[in-house]
Amino acid sequence: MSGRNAKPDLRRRNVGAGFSRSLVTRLVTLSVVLMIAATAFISERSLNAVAREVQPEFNREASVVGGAIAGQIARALELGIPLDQLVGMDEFLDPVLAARSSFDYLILSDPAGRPLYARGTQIDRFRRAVADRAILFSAPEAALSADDGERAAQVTQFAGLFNTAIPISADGRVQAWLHIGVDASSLARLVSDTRWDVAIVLMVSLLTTIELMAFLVDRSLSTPLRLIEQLSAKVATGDWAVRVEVATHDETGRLLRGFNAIIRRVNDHWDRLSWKAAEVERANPRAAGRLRRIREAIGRHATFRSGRGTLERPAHSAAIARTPLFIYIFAEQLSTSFMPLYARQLYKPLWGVDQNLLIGLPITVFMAGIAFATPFGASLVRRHGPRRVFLMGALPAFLGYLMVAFADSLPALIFWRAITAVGYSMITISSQGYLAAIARQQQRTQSMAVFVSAVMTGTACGTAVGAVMADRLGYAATFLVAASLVLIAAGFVWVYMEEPKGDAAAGPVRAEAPPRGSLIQAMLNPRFAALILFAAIPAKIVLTGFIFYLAPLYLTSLALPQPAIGRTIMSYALVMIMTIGLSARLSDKLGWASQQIVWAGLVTGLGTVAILFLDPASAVLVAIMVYGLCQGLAAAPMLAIVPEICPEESRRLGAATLFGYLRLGERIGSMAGPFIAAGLIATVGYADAILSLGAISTVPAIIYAIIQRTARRPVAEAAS
Amino acid sequence: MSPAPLVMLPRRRFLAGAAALGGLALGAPAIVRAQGSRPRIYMMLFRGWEDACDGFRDYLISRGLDVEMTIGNADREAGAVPGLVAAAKALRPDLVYIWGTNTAALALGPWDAPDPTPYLTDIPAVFNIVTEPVGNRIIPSLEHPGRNATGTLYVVPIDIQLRTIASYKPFKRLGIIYNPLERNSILTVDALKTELAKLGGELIESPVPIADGEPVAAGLSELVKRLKDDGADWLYIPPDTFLQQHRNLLTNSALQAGLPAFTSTEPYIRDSNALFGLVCRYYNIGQFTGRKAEQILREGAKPSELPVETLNRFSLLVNMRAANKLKLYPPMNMLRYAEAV
Repeated sequence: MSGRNAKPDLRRRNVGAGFSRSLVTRLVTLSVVLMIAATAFISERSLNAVAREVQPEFNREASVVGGAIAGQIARALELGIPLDQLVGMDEFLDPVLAARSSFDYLILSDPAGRPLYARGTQIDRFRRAVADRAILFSAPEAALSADDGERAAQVTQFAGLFNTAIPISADGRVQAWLHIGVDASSLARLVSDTRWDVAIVLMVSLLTTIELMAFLVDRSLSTPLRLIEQLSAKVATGDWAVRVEVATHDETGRLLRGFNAIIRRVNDHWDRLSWKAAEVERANPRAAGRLRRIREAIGRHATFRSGRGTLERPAHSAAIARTPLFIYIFAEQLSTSFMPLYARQLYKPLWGVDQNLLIGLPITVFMAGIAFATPFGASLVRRHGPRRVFLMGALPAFLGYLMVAFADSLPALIFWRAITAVGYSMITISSQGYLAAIARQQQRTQSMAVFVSAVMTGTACGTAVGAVMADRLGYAATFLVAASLVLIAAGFVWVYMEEPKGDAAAGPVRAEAPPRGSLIQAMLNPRFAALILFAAIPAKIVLTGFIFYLAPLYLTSLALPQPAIGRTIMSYALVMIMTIGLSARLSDKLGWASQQIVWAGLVTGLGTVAILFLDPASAVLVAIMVYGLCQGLAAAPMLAIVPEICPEESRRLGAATLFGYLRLGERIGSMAGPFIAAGLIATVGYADAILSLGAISTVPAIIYAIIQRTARRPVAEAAS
Repeated sequence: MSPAPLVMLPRRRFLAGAAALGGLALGAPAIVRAQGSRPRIYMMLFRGWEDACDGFRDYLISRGLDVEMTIGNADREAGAVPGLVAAAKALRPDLVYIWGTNTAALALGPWDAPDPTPYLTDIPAVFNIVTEPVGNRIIPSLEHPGRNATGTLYVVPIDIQLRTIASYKPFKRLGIIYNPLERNSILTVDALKTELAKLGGELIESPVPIADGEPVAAGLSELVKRLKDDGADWLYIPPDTFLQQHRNLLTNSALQAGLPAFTSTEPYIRDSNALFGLVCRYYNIGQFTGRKAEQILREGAKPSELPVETLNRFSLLVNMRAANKLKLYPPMNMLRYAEAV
C-alpha cells in the first residue's frame, strides 16, 4: 500500500514504456505550450480592443442618459420654473445613480459651474476641479433646442473621473449644465473582470484539452505503441504464436494490423515448410532424420502457433475512467458557486426555521446523501462491476440536475439534491473501483492520484465555468447543461469502458464488515481520534461552511458579479491541483506527514485573518487559496499517517476500515459546515463568521499537535 | 360591416351654436345618407357637444361602425331633460347616449322607481361623465347594472387622487367647497372623509350657503379665504355642477388666497385656474363609452349585464400659470408624466 514499495516495480514498467511515455510527454507539452502562446496572444489583443472600445461606450452612456435628464430639466425651465426652484431633484436624480454603477455623481450647475443640485460621492472633487478650471464646458456657438444636449456633451478627464457636461438650453440660451461623473476605476474594473474571464476560459480550455488529449493519446498512441512493444518483445524471443487486438482504425491501428499480417505470413510459411518437409520425409526416408534435427533446432529458438495463437490485449487504461469522471465532476461543480444563492432565491418562510439555516440545507443534504449512499455504491460495484454502476448512477444524477433546474421550492431543491448525491456517490465510487481494479496492488496509491487529479481538475473548471454560465444563462440553464454533461459522461463509459475482468474484478478495496465496536476501538486510540476530530472534521467544516456556503452569500452581498464569485471559489481547487502532488512527495521523502497536518490546520485558520487587513473580496480569495494550499498539502499525509499512528488497529481492523472511518469523519464535517457557518453569520455577521471558521481550523490543529506529541510515547512503548 | 361612407359630423363649435339657437332636440344634423340598416343613436346632452362626444363618435368611426346620430341638448337646463326623454321615446333609436350625472339621473330615474313611466326603460342607454351612479341610484351596482343602461365612470378613485396630491405637496388638511344640494357632492365628501381617515388627514368642509333653495355664488371667494385661514393646505374641488358654472370665480379666488386647488375634472385646469388634477380625459372616456355602445349595437350585449367601469389610465394636468402664481412647482418626477397647460 505504501508508495515506497511501489517504486521499484514502477520503474521497471517505466523502462518498458519509456519510448511511448517520453514521446507522449513531448507531444502534449508542445501542444500545450503552443496553445497557451496562441491563446494568450489572441486574448491580449482582444483585451486591448475591449479597453479601447469600452471607454467611449462608457462616456456615450453618460451623454445618452444625461441627455434625457437634461431634456426634462430644460422642459421644466421652459415651463417657467426657475432654475433654483426645481422641486424633488433628489428623488429625480437618485434612481439614475442607483441604476448605473459606473456613474459617480450627477450635478446640475449654473452656467458658471456652481452646483445647484448634486447627488453622488465625489462632489467636492468636482467643485475643486471647477475652481481649478480643470473641467471644460463652454456654451456651444449655435443655439440649442431642449433635446440637443446629448449632441453637445463635452467630456473632460480629471483625477480619475470622466466628467460629461451637457448644456441645458431653454428659451434659446444655455441656462444650466448637467454634469455626469463616470468613475474611471469602474472602467478599469470592467477591463480587469474581462481579463479574468478570459484567463479562466483559457485555463479551463487548457485543462479540458489536456484531459481529452490524455484520453486520445492513450487510445491511439500509447496503447498501440505498447502493444507493438509487447509483440516485438515476444517475437524477438522467438514466440510467433501471438497476435494483437486492434481497436482503432487510424494509422496505429493499421500498423498493428500490419504486424498481425507479418506474423501470420511467417506462421503460414512455417506451416508450408513443415508440410513440404513431411512430403520429403515420406519420399526420402534417408533425409528424414536430418530434417527432424533441423526442425528441432528451429523449435528450440522459436514457437509457432497451431491455431489462432494467443491474443495480446491492451491493459485497461486509467484514461478510460478518468475522462468520464472528469466530465461528471465538471458537471456537478457547475453549481458550486451559486448553490446557496439558488436556494435563497427559492426560499419561502417554512416551519419558522431561520433562512440562513434553510438555504444551507441543500449542501448539507447533498453531503449526507453521499455519506449514506457510498457504502451501498461500493457493494454494488463489487456485485455488478464499475461500468454498470457508473451507468446506473448516471440516472439519478441526470434526473437530479434536470429536476433541480425546474425546482420551484426549496424542499424540491433539497429533495433532488439528495437524489443527485446518490448518483454522485455511485459514479465516484465506480470510477474509483475501476481505477483500483486495473491497477496492480502496489499501484493503488497511483490510481488514487489519478482519481484525485480528475476530481480537482473537474472541480476547478466546473466551478469557474458554471459561474460564468449562471451569469449569462441563468441558474436553470446551467443545471440543464450539467444534466447533458452527465449523459455525455455516461455515453463515454457506454462506448469505451469494459468491465475489468478476472482478478481485477475484485473491485475497490474489499471492505468486509468490520466487527462490532471497532469504531469505538479505533477511537479509543487518542491519536486516531485526534486525527478525525481535530484534523479531518475541521478541514471539511471550513470547506463546506466557508467556501461552499458563506463565500457565495458574502461575495454576493458585496455586489461581486457571479463569474468573480466562481473564480474566487474555484481557486482552492486550482491551488490543490498543484499542491496535492507535492504533498505526497513531501510526506514520502521527508517523512513530514504529521507536521504537514498540523501546519495545514494552523495556516488555514491564519489565512482567514486576511479579512482584517484586505478589502473583503480579496481577503476571501486569499483565505480560500490558503485553504487550497494547506489542505492540498495535508491530503496525502492524512491517509499515509493512519498505519503509522495506529499500527495495532491497522493490523486488527485493516487499514481500509480505518480509512473508512476517516472518510466518515470528513463527511460529518461536510454536513455540519453550512449549519455552523449559518449560525455564525446570524450571530456575529460575515466578517467575524469567517474569522470564527478560521479558529475552527486553528484551535483543533493545536490540540491535535499536543495529542500527537503526548500520546506518542505509550504507543511507541507498546510497539517495542 | 357597411361599406357606406363614414358619418361626417359637424364640428363641435357649429353644434354648440346650433344648440344655442334651436334649444331642444336638434333634428339629426349628423345624417349624411339615410339608410334603414344603420343603427340610430340619440345623443342626450346637457352642455352641448363636447370632448366626450368627440371621443364617442371617433371611437365608433374608428371601429367602422356606421351610425346615425340625433342630438338632443338640454342646454344646462335640468327642466329640459323630460322633454328629451319624450323625444327619444318618440324617435325609438337603437341606443341613447346620455351625458352627465343630472341628465342620467333625470332621464333614467332611480333603478327602483315605483313608477318608471317618465323614464327611459326599454331603449338601451349608455351614460358617461356621471359621478357615483350607484349613490345617485341610477344603477344598483357597478358590476351588474341590472337595467337597460350601462356606462362609464370618469372620476379617478379617491385614494389615488389623495396620493397624487400628497406627492405634489404633502398635506394635513384638505379643504372642500361644495353645493350641499347636489347629491354627488355629498357622496364625494363622504368618500373623502373615509379615505382621509385612513391616511390620517383632516377634511375641512365648507358648503356653499343656500338662499331661497338656491346656492349662492357671491360668497365663494370668502369661503376660499376662510378655508385658507383655517389651515387648509389644498382646496379640493369636487365634480359639482354648481361649482362648474362658477369655476373661474372659484379658482381665481383660490389663487388670490394662495391656496392650491386640486380637481378631478378637466375644465377647471384647462379652462380655469385650478393648480393641477388627476383626470380622466373626457375624450378618452367618450371613446371607452363608445366601446360599450359597440358591444351593445354590434355584439348584442345586454346593458344590464355590462359592468360600469372606469379607465385605469389617467392624465395629470398641471396649470403652469397657477404654479407660477403660487410659486408651487410640480416635483421633477411628476413633471415627467404631467401635461402642462
